Amino acid sequence: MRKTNMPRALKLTVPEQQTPISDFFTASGTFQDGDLLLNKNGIRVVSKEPAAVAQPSDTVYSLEDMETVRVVGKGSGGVVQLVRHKWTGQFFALKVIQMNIQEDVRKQIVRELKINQASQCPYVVVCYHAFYTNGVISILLEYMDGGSLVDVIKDFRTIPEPYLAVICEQVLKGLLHLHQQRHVIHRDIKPSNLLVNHKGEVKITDFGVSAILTNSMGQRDTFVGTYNYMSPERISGSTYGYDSDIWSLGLVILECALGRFPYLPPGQGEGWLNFYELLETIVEQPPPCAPADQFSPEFCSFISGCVQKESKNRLSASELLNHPFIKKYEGQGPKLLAGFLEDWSPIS
Amino acid sequence: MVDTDLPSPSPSKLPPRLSFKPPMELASSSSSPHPIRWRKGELIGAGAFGRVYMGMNLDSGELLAVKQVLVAANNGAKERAQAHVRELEEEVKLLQNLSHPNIVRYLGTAREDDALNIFLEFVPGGSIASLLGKFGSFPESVVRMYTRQLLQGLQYLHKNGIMHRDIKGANILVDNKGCIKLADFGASKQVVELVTLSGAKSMKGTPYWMAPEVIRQTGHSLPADIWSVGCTVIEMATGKPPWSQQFQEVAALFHIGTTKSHPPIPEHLSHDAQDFLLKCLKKEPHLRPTATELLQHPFANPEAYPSTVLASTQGQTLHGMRASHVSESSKRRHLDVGSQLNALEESSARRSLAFLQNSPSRIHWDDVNDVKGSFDSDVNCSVRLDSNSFMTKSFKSGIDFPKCDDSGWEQSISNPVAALMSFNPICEPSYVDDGWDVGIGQEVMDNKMLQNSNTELYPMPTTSAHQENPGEVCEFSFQCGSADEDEEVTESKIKAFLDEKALELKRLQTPLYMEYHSIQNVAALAQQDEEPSSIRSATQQKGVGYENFISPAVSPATRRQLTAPSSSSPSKASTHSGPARSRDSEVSVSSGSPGAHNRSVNFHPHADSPRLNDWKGLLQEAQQPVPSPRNVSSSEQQRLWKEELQKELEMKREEKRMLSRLAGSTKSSPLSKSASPKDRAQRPSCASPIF
Repeated sequence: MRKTNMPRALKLTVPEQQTPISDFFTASGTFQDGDLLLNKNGIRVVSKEPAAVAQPSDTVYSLEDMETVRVVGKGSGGVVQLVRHKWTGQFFALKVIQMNIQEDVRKQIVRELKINQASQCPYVVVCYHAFYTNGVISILLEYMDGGSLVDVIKDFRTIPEPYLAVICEQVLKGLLHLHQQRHVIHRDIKPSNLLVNHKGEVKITDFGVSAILTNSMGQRDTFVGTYNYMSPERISGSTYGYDSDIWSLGLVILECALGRFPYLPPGQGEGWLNFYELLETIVEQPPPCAPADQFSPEFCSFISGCVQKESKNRLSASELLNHPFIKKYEGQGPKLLAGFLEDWSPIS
Repeated sequence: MVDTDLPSPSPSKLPPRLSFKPPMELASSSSSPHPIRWRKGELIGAGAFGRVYMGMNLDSGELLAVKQVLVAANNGAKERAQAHVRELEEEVKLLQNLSHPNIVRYLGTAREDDALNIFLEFVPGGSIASLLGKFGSFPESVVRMYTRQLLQGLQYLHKNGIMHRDIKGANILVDNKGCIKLADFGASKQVVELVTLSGAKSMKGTPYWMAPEVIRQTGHSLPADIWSVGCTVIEMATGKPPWSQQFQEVAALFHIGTTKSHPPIPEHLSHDAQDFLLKCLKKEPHLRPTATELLQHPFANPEAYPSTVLASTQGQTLHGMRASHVSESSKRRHLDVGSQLNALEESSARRSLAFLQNSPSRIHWDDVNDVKGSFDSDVNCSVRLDSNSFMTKSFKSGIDFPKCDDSGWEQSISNPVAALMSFNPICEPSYVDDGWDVGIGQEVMDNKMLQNSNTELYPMPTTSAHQENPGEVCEFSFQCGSADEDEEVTESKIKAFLDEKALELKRLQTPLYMEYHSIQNVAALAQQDEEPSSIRSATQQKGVGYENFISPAVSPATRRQLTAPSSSSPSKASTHSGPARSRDSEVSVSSGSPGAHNRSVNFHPHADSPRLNDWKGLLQEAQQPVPSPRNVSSSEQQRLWKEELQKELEMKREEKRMLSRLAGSTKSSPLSKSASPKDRAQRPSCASPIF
């Protein structure tokens, strides 16, 4: 496909020829090559070393150069694979979406996706490239080896305040970028859309891509997904704006702190048996808040700055970045979170 | 395109459609060891639980919709995929037992290594939702036609205690004759389960069509489908489901659950339509009428609107009747029946795939008449039928066939067993629904029409159990053009589109079929010459459907006729001198002389498959034990017979390959077991008249 147009800054990591085969195997018989571990239990990728940051501007990727390592997840509308660039050894997430739509719409999607590449932000998962072949759209995304906040919550149950502050700061910067630079509402802030890596970086994903896809796939009628984090004004069909994302972020952070979804189901039930009841509760009941006896005043204030039923009462992303809760741990940076996540590998 | 030879599925996994089952042993699992040979075609849809491809049965040429769910080998996705498989199997279980013209037919299932395939009836026109996208909102006449059929399908489902749960335009398919078929059962059945299982973590569904009680989950039942019918009517009339302009996704869900008012009723609709909608969209489920009651509503009632499409009903019933006659009467007789009914069908029941697969000469007929023309004649002849004159223009003009008396007609039709037995495996579903039977029963056909053929019908107990809707008189009149011009334009657009689809289908199908046709005929002849008695006994044993293999009593003329397709265009083969032939009748029956009581040949050419697969469908339709005297077939004989035929086929194929190689056909690969349709089409002997 691109054989004639080789990327200039291409790095090749080819094992030296004289390397004996035994070097690839550990004592237990596991094949190891760089980040890749392979044994009878399957493949495992351990990328603790800082991966070379891909520069989308000077590298043109083609699907043929990607080898699939494994499937890492299934998101709205498609499967996400971990792929490796054969030449550079870089890992990417490849979101594969089966499309069944008109040709012109497909082209438009690919066009929009390519525009998406243009703007870069360290707090938003980078979209490197998009391919369209045989009715399938493949989107080459930055690979976040830590998985999403869902994985983190699953394993750690709760996240202490300092780490939450680090997460919040990065997500807020990402939202700020989306709101102020790109002038878009994410619309789907939820734990599974906030990804982490071993460096303690947190990035917002599924931005734009999902919105574009849901709008163009003609599937707006059918919705699949979680709407637990949706703001009251969206549920009731009112107009909504950037502050809708703030509500969602507040709920997500509160969930990470509490270790459970902030809204409690009525009665003794184990969970929300009725989807509609939950919607009704969000619209009609007072918003949840962080219990003052368990959390710092700064945190409680931060949460209530986000989770306000009246959207105009919510703080903006930039206001929240200056909130005492964030300021309190400012400067700690991703390293703090990296320490928290150390030795944790959701991949196993 | 991938040729897939599926491993032989276990009897439980593979329903009788794909293997031969003698009628007597319907309940038993004597499924054939034959794998389903099919080829995957283009992607035609993607649902919540998998993708849908067009497929071709490589033995019969039958086109299929293949719903495919990948069972990922990966650990992470495995659980989820397994859930999908279970959901699909659930859907299949439902579909398996259903047979109604307005229900998508289930044809089989097969598990591959990494996928579950479900074979469904292919409906060429696409869904109502896609038609709305192509043509814009429907005129009320079309809405009424579709609604009535929708209700009939739903009535059938509800009578069987099945709730559809996801009625909407995208789940209603339309064939080229405007016959609608409900699809995607069980899909939304999982909605509630998903919600309850995952504790409100996710919601899957299509809120715009959901009844308030479904959303609130305060307990819902069949009336929820009625609500969805109302929403679908609004969707058809406006192009959009109710509330969809004002509310999106979850907001729509919340609004429907919360609002006290009913959805906005389109004001441009007639009073009847608006009244119909108000009744469907009652907030309280128990106040909504049932499907049966709604069929009496002026909006959906053919009495009030004689021009409502009932042609398909008509055609189908006729078709079913034909098959029943054939299967019930001995092979010696159905030449007449077949020809008559082919003619009937031609005018009234040329519907979708079913029609296409009937005979090559039929295809030819369609080709001769331009699409529009043939369609017009359809409208005149089949869409508007007179209660006193079932015969439609085309066969009135062209066909001179015997008549039957009223009682004979009614007997054969109102007999549910006959109806069941009437199933033509590839063509039409059989009709067991009350409405249909009543329709036929009251159908005053030209009485003598079936006189001859009736004589040897097996006496069947007449049952009146299917006459639950005596009030529902299917009145067919030639009343045309009540719609205004706009509507007619839209209608004709839709119809032209559907016909175009039909033509495409034919093109896809023809070459393979042609090959089949010719090979089979040769094989049949050869077999007959070699061991006429064995063939005969085999035929008798099979009881049904092997008419194509001429019985030894067949006249030489017939034999010649049979051989013809292998060396000439099939359409030529249908040339004959019988009186049952009409100008455009594609009766591919060779009748040596009118009085000679000739035996029918090629009644269902597509069924020529020597693999008994095709007849399975027939028998599957007759799921209930049928006390047929012809069920004595032993599976051993079947097997031998099949083997013989298989060998013969192989020989013939080899021969053909040799010939084509000699002829310098560069394209056909001697290695390929079955050459691609393209290759086939290039052979003169197989060339379709269409090309």
